Amino acid sequence: MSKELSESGLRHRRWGMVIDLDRCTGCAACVAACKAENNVPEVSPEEAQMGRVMSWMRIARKEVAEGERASISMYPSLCQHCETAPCTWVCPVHATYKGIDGIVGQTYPRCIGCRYCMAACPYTVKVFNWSEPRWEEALREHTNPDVSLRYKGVVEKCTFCSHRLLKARDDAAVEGRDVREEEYQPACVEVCPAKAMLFGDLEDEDSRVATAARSPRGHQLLEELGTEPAVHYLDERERRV
Amino acid sequence: MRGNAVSESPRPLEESPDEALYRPIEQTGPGFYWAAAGLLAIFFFGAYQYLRQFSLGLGVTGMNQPVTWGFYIINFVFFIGISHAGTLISAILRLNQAEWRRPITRMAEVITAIVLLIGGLHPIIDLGRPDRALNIFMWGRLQSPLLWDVMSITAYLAASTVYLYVPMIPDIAKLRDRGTRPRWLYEFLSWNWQGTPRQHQVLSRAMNLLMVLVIPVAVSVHTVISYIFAMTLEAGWHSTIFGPYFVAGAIFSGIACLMVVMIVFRKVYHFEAYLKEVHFANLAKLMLVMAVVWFYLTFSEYLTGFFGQEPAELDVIMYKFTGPYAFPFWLMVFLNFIVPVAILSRKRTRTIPWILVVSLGIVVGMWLERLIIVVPSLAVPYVPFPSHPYWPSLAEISIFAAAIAAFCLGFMAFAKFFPLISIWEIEEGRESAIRETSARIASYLPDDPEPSASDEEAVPEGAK
Amino acid sequence: MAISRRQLLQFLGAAGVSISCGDNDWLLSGLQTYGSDRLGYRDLRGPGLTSFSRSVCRDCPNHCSLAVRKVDELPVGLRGTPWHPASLGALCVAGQSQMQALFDPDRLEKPLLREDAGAPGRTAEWGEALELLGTRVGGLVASGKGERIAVVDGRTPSLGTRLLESWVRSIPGAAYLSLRIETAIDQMAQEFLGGAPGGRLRFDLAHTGTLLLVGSEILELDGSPVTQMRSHGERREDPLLDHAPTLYLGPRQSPTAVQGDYWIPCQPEEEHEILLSFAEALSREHPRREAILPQYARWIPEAKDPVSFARRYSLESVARAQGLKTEVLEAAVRAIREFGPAVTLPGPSVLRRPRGFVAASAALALNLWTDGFREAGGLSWGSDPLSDLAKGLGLGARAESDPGGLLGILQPLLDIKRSPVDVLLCVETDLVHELPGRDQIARALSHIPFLACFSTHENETSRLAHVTLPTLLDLESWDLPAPAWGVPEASLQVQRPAVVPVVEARSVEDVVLDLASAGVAGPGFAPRGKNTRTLVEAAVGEIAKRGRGELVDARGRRALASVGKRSAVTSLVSGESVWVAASESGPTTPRTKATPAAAPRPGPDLAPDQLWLVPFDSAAIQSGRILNRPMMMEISGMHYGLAWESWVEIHPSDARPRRIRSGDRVKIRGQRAEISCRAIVTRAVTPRVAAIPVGFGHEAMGRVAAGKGASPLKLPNTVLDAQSGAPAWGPLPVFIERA
Repeated sequence: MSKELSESGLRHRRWGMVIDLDRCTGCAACVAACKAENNVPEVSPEEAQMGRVMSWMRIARKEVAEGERASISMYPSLCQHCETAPCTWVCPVHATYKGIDGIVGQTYPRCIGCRYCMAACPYTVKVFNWSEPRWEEALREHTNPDVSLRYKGVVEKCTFCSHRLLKARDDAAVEGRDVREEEYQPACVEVCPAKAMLFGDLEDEDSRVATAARSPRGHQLLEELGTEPAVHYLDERERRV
Repeated sequence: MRGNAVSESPRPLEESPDEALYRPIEQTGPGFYWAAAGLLAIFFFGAYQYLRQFSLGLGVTGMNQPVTWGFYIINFVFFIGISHAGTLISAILRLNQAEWRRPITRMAEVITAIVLLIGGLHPIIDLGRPDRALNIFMWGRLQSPLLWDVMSITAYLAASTVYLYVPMIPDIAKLRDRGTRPRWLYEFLSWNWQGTPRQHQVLSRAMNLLMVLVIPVAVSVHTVISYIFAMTLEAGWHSTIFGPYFVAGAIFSGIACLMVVMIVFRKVYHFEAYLKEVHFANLAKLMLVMAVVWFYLTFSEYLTGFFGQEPAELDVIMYKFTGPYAFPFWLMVFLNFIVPVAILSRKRTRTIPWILVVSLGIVVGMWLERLIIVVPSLAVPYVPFPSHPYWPSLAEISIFAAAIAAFCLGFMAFAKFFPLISIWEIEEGRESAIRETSARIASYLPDDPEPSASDEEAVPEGAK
Repeated sequence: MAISRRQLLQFLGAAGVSISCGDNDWLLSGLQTYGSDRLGYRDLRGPGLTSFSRSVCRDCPNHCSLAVRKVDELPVGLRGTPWHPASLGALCVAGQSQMQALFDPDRLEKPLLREDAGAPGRTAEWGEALELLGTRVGGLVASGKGERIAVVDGRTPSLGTRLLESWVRSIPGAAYLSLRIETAIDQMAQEFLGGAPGGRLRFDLAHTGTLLLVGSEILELDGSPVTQMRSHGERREDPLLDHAPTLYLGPRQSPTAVQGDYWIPCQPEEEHEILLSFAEALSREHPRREAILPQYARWIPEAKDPVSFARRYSLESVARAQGLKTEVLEAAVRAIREFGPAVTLPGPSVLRRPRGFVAASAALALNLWTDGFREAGGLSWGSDPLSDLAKGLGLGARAESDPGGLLGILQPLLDIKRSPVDVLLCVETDLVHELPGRDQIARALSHIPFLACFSTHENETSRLAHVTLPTLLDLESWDLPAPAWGVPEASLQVQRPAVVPVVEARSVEDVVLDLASAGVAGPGFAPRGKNTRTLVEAAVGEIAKRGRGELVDARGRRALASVGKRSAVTSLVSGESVWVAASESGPTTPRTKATPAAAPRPGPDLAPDQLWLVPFDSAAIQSGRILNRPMMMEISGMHYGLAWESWVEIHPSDARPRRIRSGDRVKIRGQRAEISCRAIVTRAVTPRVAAIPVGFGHEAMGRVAAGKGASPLKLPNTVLDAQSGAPAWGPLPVFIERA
């Protein structure tokens, strides 16, 4: 199953991620790396206080009271790249779509900014450019050239750093082979100080990611909705016996 | 006989019994122009706010994450909802041959046409990139409920415009014959109507066809709007009741709006002779029925959600019952159910002043219902998310005000050029309806087995 | 030909249908998308030559290796480098945001001179500023009044800080003080564990059994948070250590502690109570009980007598006093017993408190005889390459730690009548913002005859300074940072400029070398280079000659060239390789050091409606030093959904009577001052405790940081730590109410 070739002669893959919450310290390095890599601008304090922070990833914190104490859990929240992504069902112009190797993509030039996909996403991971993104004069020159700068009125979200995938594929194509797992890693995975994130091909049963995803500590967010996300979380507190 | 009118058309040679219906067209007082000026000011302020939004982006609104839809979508649903009463009521009443519809239908149809245009513009106002609105046609995905919406509203707009225009042709012809200015307009639009029996036949066939077709289209419109919400997985939205719920709510709000419009214009244009207490009483009974239906559907919706105790669903419901949205929610129930039932179920209070109060309350209450459907489900996401309350900004409020002003302006503009009450149908009512209706009623009663001496005062001739 | 209306309409209908079916480009081609091209962005820069330039992040002592990605020599991004043993490719929020610091529009571009504290500064040329500095310092040196000179350094340890230190020490009587907390931990370890001078604390978190964190969290271990985070993760995966718990002891459950297994809440300033109860329970059957207890007697009178010790610090009595169930403490003791080597780590938050040293001492002492450090492959007092290096370069003897250092310099400052120093140099440290009692510190500093600041921004301290000299950021200067603290393997990494300096600034070392060459230095100051670059090259050459390690190339592969060769030196300096040194660990027997210690001073009592305001530190906020970066301001409050502002954490039982809900603004009233921030209601603090982060509330420091959030250090607190004499952070009794 995992070694089938797709039409283009490349192996069918599904890129996915495993985040080990027992290692995660909530330091938000992944959030910062994502912003830096993808040229996600900061918003003004007023806009931030209104709730318009433009982070593609965020650290979500849940506190459930248990008497005097609380059970607190924290996890990095990012686009889950669902197999059956509700955002792709509702987009009127095919600006968000299920693309290469299972990555849910976002086409900025086509998006009309209706924000239907944002309303449909149960994970609330899509972000909107409410105003024209502002950059300090000098910093604008120093943005990552591999990722396009967006403008006002379009929706954006995590792309699993697919620009890195495209580059890796180009490099691999020159050598006449497929992309190897270790050649493509999103910025967040690369930078995690606790080494809590794994990334790779979920379709390849032997890969580290697929093995980790099968762990009894593994669970997914909102599994009951049937979205089949590509992100797995490992948590001792959710261990299946 | 000429009054102190600012503008006037030449008077006809003979007066018709329905002079009152021509007066708004032929004599416009200064009040009209003052009102129009005021409404235009509001409209232009709203348009300026929109231009500002076009230039600065949607940041000028109060929307945020997670509440990504606000006033614009609420008003979209609200205005399209109001459109239902127009054509739907007019079509349903016509189909049922309810005679008391005659002075009502025109105004209802006009409401629909205007409000559809205004409502249909709102999604464009809501777009982050309105310059790319044509992408919907170039790369539209038919699987998206928004596309169904586009198709449905376009069809309804086309149908209701036609359904407004076609029955108006005889009236336009009358205006043409009276020589009312601008003559070219009436000559062009009257389509050479001469009132021959053959033309009447064609007209009634067209109207029959239209009134049957318009009903499914109208039902589909608000159903499809409800599908925008119901086809997502959000808590509070993903419910099968949404289709009927929205249609019922739309009819409800539409009737209320129609009532308000009727009462206002009755007062302003002195239509007391035509819009009598009985018309309002009948519509009020219909409104009362819709109030009960609305409450029934609302109750089912919340009971189901509450009973199931599904966490995400319950969070949204409690947000509405006891959380930040408790005040709008209970106000809505009060205005949409308690007030109408208390006031309209008693004959003594089913009078025009009370009906006006109740209808205004329902219009507000149904707007609140849209608010309560759209915002809480977004404000309470499935996943833990920092809460940011949604407050409308000046841009959103002024565009709402501009939309209402546009509605009033549209209505007033219509009233300036076309009769608000269908003159030819009133005439038809006077001339032939009474006869036809008596015959129809007689046909429901048991037939006589054979003519006998006691039945000499037999049915009039030709009454079957 | 006349057409009828019907025909006209038919024609229009047909035309409309054909248009909608046909080619519509002509209709749409006139419409352009508004956006990028009108705004002048260069969206696609086209292909460029990508190069990487390696350097080091100096925001915290972890000294993570980073690579600056440049496209056609234009820096466009930062990444970690996967082969560096301390970071393994990690780069925390602070490191990621360095580019924003580089191009901050509010950076000082020219030296500022001012007549008096509070007077407006005027920009001046470097020549004038250096002359002024040289005159003042040189005058004191020449007249033999070196004891009137003091230097406070806020940077992480490196060749540059050693150079500065040796320059200061060369002037007889002058004082040098490093404000980094790991220096304090080192000092403390020496004091209580009796290690040899020049030793460093190392421990291997990855192979630790039970981990007991006292008032600290992985992120707050200012030593090397990034490495600790990784080790913490590895520890959880080690099957032998399966279920070895992480215990967290403190009044606030920090984000890292959330992922730990047990949180033992305690009242602020009373961590030592619980630690001593553990000591009591664990020592009962310990063979060395007779030797252990007298060590505690140094500061706990009850420890002189085993019976009174047992009574006072039994698990039951301490649990009752703290409002806990005895089972909680018993479970912790069981875990420590079961999982063998346990490491107890005191954190910066503890150390900065009035009785912090007591808790820290108790924690470290617990390590000693639970054999925590040693068995975990930890406690080692070997020398590090840099000490060798410093000796080899003749930069002077390694600095004697000065536990009373801050006390010595600043305590008299709080007595505003006289000042003990005539010249105070603040190097990249913002004393007014980072020390408690902001107004008092500012007042004290304004009485110093000559205050000079080296910093990148005009901050609260430099606003009082007579001379402010702009410095270079890490990405613009040469240096040789010390190996990461707590990392088993030392590695050598050169900090080299990845970008051309954005402003006309100079590094501190270059200024010092200039002064020295002009004669402003003590005898015996003999640097091995005339600028920072040559210094670094010389140092690297020295290390390479002694060659005790392996050369690892850019891909982490072992290189064939041996270290001693010249090419290896070039390779190290140019950034191609990393030198990984074999660790010098080996257990040594600590000597007991008999020094009298003061008894812990009891803190003030709490009135019924008051709460304890407990400030906490975070490596992410770094005492506010890096809050002038927009990314930091946006991310630092992310857990609670806050951005660009600070907060105070309150327990629901305290929030309810004050009718405070999460997100409300509250006023915090101390004795003489008041601050305002948002409240977060959470059960992650102990009742009666309000926890607030330190670092926000800048009044200067650029438009990004100024005016955002509130600083608890503004509420005056003249409590001094009994052991170190340092001005202490809270806990302060305060009133909190809704604003």
